[in-house]
Amino acid sequence: MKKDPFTLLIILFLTSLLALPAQARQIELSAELGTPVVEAGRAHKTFLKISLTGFELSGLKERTPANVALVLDESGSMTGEKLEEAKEAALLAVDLLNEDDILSIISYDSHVKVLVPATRVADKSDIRRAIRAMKAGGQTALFAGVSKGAREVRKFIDKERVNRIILLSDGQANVGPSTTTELGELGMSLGKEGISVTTIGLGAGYNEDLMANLAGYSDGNHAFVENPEDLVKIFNYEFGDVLSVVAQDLLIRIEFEDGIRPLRILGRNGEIIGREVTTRMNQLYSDQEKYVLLEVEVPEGTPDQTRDLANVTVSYQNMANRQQEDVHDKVTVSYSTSGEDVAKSRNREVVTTATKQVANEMSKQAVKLRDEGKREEAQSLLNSSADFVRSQGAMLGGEEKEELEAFSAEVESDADAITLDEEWDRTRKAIRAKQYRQDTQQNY
Amino acid sequence: MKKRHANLLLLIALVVLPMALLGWQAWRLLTSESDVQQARYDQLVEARLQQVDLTIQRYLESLANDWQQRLPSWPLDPRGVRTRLADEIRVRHLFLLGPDNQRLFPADPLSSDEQAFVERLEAIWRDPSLLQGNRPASESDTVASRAPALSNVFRKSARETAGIAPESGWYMWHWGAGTRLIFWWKSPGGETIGLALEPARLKSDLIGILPEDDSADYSIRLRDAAGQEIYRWGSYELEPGEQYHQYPLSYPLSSWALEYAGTPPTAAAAGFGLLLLLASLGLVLIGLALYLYREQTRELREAARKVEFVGQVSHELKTPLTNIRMYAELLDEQLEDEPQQRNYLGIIISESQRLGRLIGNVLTFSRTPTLHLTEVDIDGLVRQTLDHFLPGFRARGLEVRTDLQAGISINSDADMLEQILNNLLSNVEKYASGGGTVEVATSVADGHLLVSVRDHGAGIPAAERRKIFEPFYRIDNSLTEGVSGTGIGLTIARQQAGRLGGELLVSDARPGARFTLKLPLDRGETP
Repeated sequence: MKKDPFTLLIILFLTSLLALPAQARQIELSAELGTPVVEAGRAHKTFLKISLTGFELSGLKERTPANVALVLDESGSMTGEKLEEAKEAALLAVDLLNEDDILSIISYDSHVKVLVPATRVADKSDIRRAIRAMKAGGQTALFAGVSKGAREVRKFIDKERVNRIILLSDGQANVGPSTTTELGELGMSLGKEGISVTTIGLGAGYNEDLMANLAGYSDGNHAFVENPEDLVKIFNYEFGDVLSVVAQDLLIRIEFEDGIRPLRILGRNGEIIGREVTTRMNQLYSDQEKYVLLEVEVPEGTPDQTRDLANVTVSYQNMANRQQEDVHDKVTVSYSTSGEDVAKSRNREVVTTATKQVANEMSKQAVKLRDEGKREEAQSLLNSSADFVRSQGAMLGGEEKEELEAFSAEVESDADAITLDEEWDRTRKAIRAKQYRQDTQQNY
Repeated sequence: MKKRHANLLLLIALVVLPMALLGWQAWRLLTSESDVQQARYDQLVEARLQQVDLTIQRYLESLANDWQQRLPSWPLDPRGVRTRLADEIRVRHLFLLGPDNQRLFPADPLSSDEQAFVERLEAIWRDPSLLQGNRPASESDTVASRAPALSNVFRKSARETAGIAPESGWYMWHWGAGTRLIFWWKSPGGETIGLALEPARLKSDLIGILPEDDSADYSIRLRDAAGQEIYRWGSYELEPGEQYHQYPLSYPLSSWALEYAGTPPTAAAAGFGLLLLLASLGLVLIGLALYLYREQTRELREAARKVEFVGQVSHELKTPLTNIRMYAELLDEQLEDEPQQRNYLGIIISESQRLGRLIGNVLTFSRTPTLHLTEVDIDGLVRQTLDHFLPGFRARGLEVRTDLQAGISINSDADMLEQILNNLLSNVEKYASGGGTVEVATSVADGHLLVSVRDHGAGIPAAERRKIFEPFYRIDNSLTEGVSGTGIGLTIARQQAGRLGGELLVSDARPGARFTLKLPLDRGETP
């Protein structure tokens, strides 16, 4: 059978149309060194940034269906405005979801109640009624609340859905397991299963370490909401994230070449075993960058030598085409005798990121010192961190200088706040949430 | 009056006794009922906790089954198991031992997390047979033995214990305050894989399968080896001082326990019905008693009204009678030479005297007279009283012998004493005139004044001596035949003697009878 050229042309055009977006529909991976060219003749420490960017969703219709459990605190301390705003936020969630999505609502005080078992968001009025009926009273069985939420999510757990628990709490967990470690372990296990836990701390009474740990190990978001009226806004951001997931279950493997030593992972949990580093992310959002930052030691080299540094493989579940996909990248390092070459080749963006991340590690150290009662030391650590950030900015110049100046100013204001007694509860939560955002490149 | 009290007491007893008896029976019934309920409740609690234990056992069993199926297909080399570890959502760490019990994984280089794990399980690396030794000490530690009906779940483990070397099992160990579980499996090639559960995940999964019941009837808590509460359901609030009932979980979580507290069983429902029955029965009994009491008091009231009426009439008769006597006596004085008429007048006077005594008796009986204490010359009074009777005695051929030795005056009521003597002498006149003689004596002995009237008549049979003092009682024999009488004479005599502080005694005198009035001197004697 012979086809006329015109038809062939049309077929060709159509296939190219189909193929074009399909090719663009992959996450972007780039692995870059802060200093891709290093001075020859001695060993160096440098930063490796593995950056992942989610592709843009072309339309609302395409979005990944969600499987969300709202786990809401209704302990005695929630009485009044807090509970009312929490209800508003939950009602907003009901509005944002549609019948492709699964929603369950769990409330907890001393006991756990499953207000809405996992169900398709079809009959919204029933769900709204259950939300409005919430009443505050009792203690805070946070662990049990999350566990029941996880069970509800598990009923419809699916790689092709965004599986998430959104936990709201305003108080200390005081019924059931309630150590930071235990909540972290739970988060780790849920993360492995593909369930992320977003933790939203309300007011100044909750345990920010516990909440950040639970979110961190399960790769969810963490937010500090000081005023109950901001709760609806935060839920809006959170659902913006949930509804824009483009990739899930990301496994990032970095194999370093002989002689290269990975020293530490900054801001994320991961395993360093010998020359192999593995870390995970549960999801990547549309048009958002997430990265893994490593400090590595590069051995000495001869001038003009170029050596392979690492192979990076990221395997993930692509939510657009529902395929398991891999992306690869390779990093090399060059040696030079010319200081100019070294400076010219410097990756300004990676250096900026690394600077912020290092400052973030120092901020964590400062909070630890403050917890131990060493206020002066904490303050001087933050001040030296601010100086370090500013000097890095001066070295880079340009746009990055301004960016780092602003960052440094923020660190300085933290340094002022960290010695103060009043509002330390509030300040600590704000700093902890900021650290968390920096570590996980959280959107809000 | 006494009798009325006695009747009232009897009626109260009539109500109280059956009620008390019934109440006691009901109480016994209730206590035995509450024992039964307590036992039933204990059984229910036991069954409920057993069910929870079984749920937990089933969960662990399903984990074990799942791994038993999947582990044989695992690549048994360090790299292989490491990749598998990433997918095992409930496993925090795992280890792989070669056929020679050499640890193949985790092996150098170790991550810091693995390093800690390896250090903690030092004992296992030294002696891997520990894994197999860590089994329930006896069959009694499994759910199967606690609940024989549910044993099919555990049939396999029972077979394992019967066999020589099990191929898989749980190993429980403690680190810090926590219980850690390892599931181990031995491959046919001799390698051993151990999967260490994420403790927080185990707790979370258990919370997931346990109920979220909000019943106010009980409160159940699951606690771990350190006593920390993991989860609770049921919203029963404990009374101050109330304790949780402990129920340890089965192997391998035998250091964990379920704790139970709940509303104790009450016999309230059964008790209430019984109480209602008792109350209605009590009401019926009280009603019946009240009815009987009213009936009885009505009769008494009627009798009292009759007595009152008789008393009233008698009182009305007294004035005309006194007038009759007075004018008859006046007439007697004026008719000196008319023996026939005087004879008639004597009869009128003595009959009106008799009538006066009769009315006096009736009045005494129906109304309690008041005492009028005066100085009384006993011998004089006796003589004076006898004088009234002399015409009558003479007419019947009775001879009077007196032996008046008292010779004292006492402080007493002359009218009453006279009434007593009147009644005694009147009896002699009526019933013992056949004896021919009546002896009247007074004396003082042992601080008492004794006034005795003895006749020589038929006497009083011993059996009757008590009864003759009862009101309206008359001896029923030839003696009383044809003789009119009210049957209250002796009754009144004895009552009056009592009021004066003394007593009236009757004794056999053969022939005849002797009535003795015994009055204490110290009550009112004057020298």
